[in-house]
Amino acid sequence: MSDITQLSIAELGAAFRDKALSPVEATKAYLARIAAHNDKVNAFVTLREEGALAEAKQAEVDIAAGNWRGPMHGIPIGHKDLYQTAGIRSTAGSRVLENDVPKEDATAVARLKEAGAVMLGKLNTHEFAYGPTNDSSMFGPCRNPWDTTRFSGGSSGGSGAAVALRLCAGATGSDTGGSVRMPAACCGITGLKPTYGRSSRAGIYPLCWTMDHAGPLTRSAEDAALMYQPLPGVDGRDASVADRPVPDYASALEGDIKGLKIGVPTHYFFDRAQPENDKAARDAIAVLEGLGAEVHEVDIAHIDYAAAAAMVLYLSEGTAYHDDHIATIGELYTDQVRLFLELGNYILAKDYLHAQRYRTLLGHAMADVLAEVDVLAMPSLPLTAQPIGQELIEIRGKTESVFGAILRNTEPFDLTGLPALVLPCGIGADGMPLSLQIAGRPFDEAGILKVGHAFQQASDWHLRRPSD
Amino acid sequence: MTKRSPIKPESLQSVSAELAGQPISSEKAKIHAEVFENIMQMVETLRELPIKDVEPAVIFHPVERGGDN
Repeated sequence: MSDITQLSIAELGAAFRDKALSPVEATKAYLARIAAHNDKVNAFVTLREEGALAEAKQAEVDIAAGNWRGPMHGIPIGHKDLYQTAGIRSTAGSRVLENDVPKEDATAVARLKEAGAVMLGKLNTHEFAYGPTNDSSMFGPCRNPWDTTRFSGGSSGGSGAAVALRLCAGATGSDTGGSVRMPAACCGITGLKPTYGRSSRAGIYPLCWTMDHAGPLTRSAEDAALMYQPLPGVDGRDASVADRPVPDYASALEGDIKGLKIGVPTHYFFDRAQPENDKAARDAIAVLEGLGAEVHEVDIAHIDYAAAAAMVLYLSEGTAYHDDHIATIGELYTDQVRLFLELGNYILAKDYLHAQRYRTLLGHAMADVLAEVDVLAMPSLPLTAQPIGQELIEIRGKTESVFGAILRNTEPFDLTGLPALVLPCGIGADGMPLSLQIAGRPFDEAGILKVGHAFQQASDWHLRRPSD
Repeated sequence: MTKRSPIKPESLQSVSAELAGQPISSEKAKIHAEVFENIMQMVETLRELPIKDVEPAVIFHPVERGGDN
């Protein structure tokens, strides 16, 4: 095999199952790529060569003995450093936790371990997930593999860069305002934010308890289905997790999308995006229409208030979580994160509750629209990945902050907890990836993954890679 | 609708020290006032929403020992 790291999770899993390939060979191939290419993007911040090879060897032995655990058995992955990993340094990208070694795995880490995944190491993150660019981290900025002068997107930037550059087959991320989907979109890969309450957040350092979600970043919707499969299900460590049946996500990918109703919310999501982001999303929707889907323009009431509500929630909950450390070791935070944490002291309780009431209002507005259509489709981001450190951008004649713009199309689905998937769907004039977002009804991860898979069967954007 | 006065650095310095227990310098208070004024202009829009009879999205769960946190 010429380059094992070109294989998808689906292909690797089948090759391991059929004993055509060993997890040890795959793990060595990924470790070699990390050694050769990680420095240019700064994605992996902690490596565990010996541990990963031991896990891969065990997977090889188990599979040879007829104990194949499933499609993730032996798959080399990385975990966002926001995820706690037993016996392995877990910093959240912050000097506050520079030498912190948790005793227990995050539930998502434990479940992927149980499924047989091999952990290559830990991945860069915007400090405590409190930013969408991954340029504030104790390890330095994570760089975009398509252009290393540009940000990777964040906060799960290491996950996005590593998957795009084939330093791992898949990676975990967390998403509070778009932190799985923004790096996936910026790096030209696939990212799934599940429904709030579908899977556990336990052992992942919180940003906002009421908006944090955990999900995978992969190279395709099919791989996202396979990597997400072990994660849902009740967890005694996280009261938010729903006790609902878990579908077989890979099986749900099969079949066509004829008659599927796609809602296109032009206002807010399209009319405030750069023209090329708008066009790429429309072109992708046309591909879905060509596969038999029906496209309907829709309007989501009250959507214009999303950024204000999300800002109040980040500031209030973020500051509450870090309250003790701001007072005692505030100087250890990066300047940008410390500023946000200090600003949270000024939010009034009534405004926090207004923001939470707005979420109910927006949730009903989304539910009204999703009673008429099956999914929503729009550009994942209104812009492409920008140069590291750039603070402002002009979109359709209006200058605004990069932070505000990049969050605009993703955070409504954190506010409402609806599942959302991003998929690469083009390349911009600056050479950076463009992306489509598909959002669905609560707990319909299977539905949006099916749409994503259908699109990727009819297009090849997900197969394009940044050059070495 | 209530009318709000523009934010003064000294007000934020007082809140930081007297309410939050995290004193800040006057230089920092000046930066905070500039940034937070913009945030408050966003926050004010939420106060105008028709949410009188809308409950917040935070739902309380009684704790059962041996079950959820």
